[in-house]
Amino acid sequence: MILREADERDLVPRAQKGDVEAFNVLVSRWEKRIYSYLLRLSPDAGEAFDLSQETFLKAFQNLKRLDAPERFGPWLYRIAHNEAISFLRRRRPESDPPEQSTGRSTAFGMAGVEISLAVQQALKVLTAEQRESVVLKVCEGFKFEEIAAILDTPASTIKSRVYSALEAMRGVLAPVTDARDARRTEE
Amino acid sequence: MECARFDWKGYALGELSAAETAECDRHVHACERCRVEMGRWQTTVASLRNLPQVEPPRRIVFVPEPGAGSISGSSNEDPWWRRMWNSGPQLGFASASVLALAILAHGLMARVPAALAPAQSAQMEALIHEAAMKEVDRLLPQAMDAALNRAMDQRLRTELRPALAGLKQQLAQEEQLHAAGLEQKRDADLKAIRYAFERLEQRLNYATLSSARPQGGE
Repeated sequence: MILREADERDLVPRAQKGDVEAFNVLVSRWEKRIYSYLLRLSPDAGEAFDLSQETFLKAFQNLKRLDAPERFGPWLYRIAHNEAISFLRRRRPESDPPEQSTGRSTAFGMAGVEISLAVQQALKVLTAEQRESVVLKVCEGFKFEEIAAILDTPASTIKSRVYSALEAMRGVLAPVTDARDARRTEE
Repeated sequence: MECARFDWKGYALGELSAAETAECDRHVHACERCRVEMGRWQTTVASLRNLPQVEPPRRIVFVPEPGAGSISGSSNEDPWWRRMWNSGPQLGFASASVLALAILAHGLMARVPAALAPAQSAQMEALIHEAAMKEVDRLLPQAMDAALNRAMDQRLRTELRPALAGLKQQLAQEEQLHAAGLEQKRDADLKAIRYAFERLEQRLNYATLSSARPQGGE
């Protein structure tokens, strides 16, 4: 579809003028990434979906504030981050988040399932700040400077968080990854 | 300790410059310990990177209000009179202002001359009072109706959310039943509820979107 292939530099100005179709194309491009990101911050699928909807609604309401259409992605993540933070602050601290929904490991095969579960477990040992930084850096592929803008935090702090998160994760993942490497060697 | 100066986390993240990366590559050829270290960081980063993204349970779609056609138009800024008309409190305030002006104008136009006798003055005051009350009776119901309509409209919109939450819960229960394979005939019900839920969600999007047009120049 031609509209779907259109560049964001074209779509964003159109959406800024109130073109709902153009905005829907932007939503369809980003909803999976935003939902996955929010699911890693608030592991309840229903909450993550509600937060995704709120994120896109806020994005539409504030689209005129975005000066550079090519910055739409990081700007959208900033809104999602703010939505998640305000939601998590409102939620009672004693309530444990429900377990993450299943069905996300099919791309790995059996060994992949094991590693994927271990990664999800390892993410839980991180602080909320470490988890968000490492998700934005490694899973979402942003640069440190972009993450700094999303989280409104110095890039050096983000880098430090990512490095310490990787240190913590490596400790949790080591038994699983080492066992897999040993199996590969035997084969 | 030459090995300590290498940033293997940065290497695995792809954050090093080309020169630094090349230096790391040369070093791991000669150093078994660092090769293992580098491999572990690469595995950690790759495990995270390979976490699949998750499909949202439903598509998020915004739709313009049926028949309005104003949202997808070239301009998203409504004229001042439409914004006023769409706002219950502002419309009520405007109506009250018009009413107050009408009473004031009426009072000024019917001002009693200084030379009038006290009896005439009292009669004139009664006439003014009667005229003012007529104006109040005529304008107040209109202003009240308009404000009430807007308030009702707002309320309907806010009540859509609880209804949506109820349907969502019902949908989750139906999906559980479906997954357990207890009742085949639930399929049709499930589809109907899902459709109703999506329609309701779209309606909520209409309402929210049309009441929250993009804010300009902030």
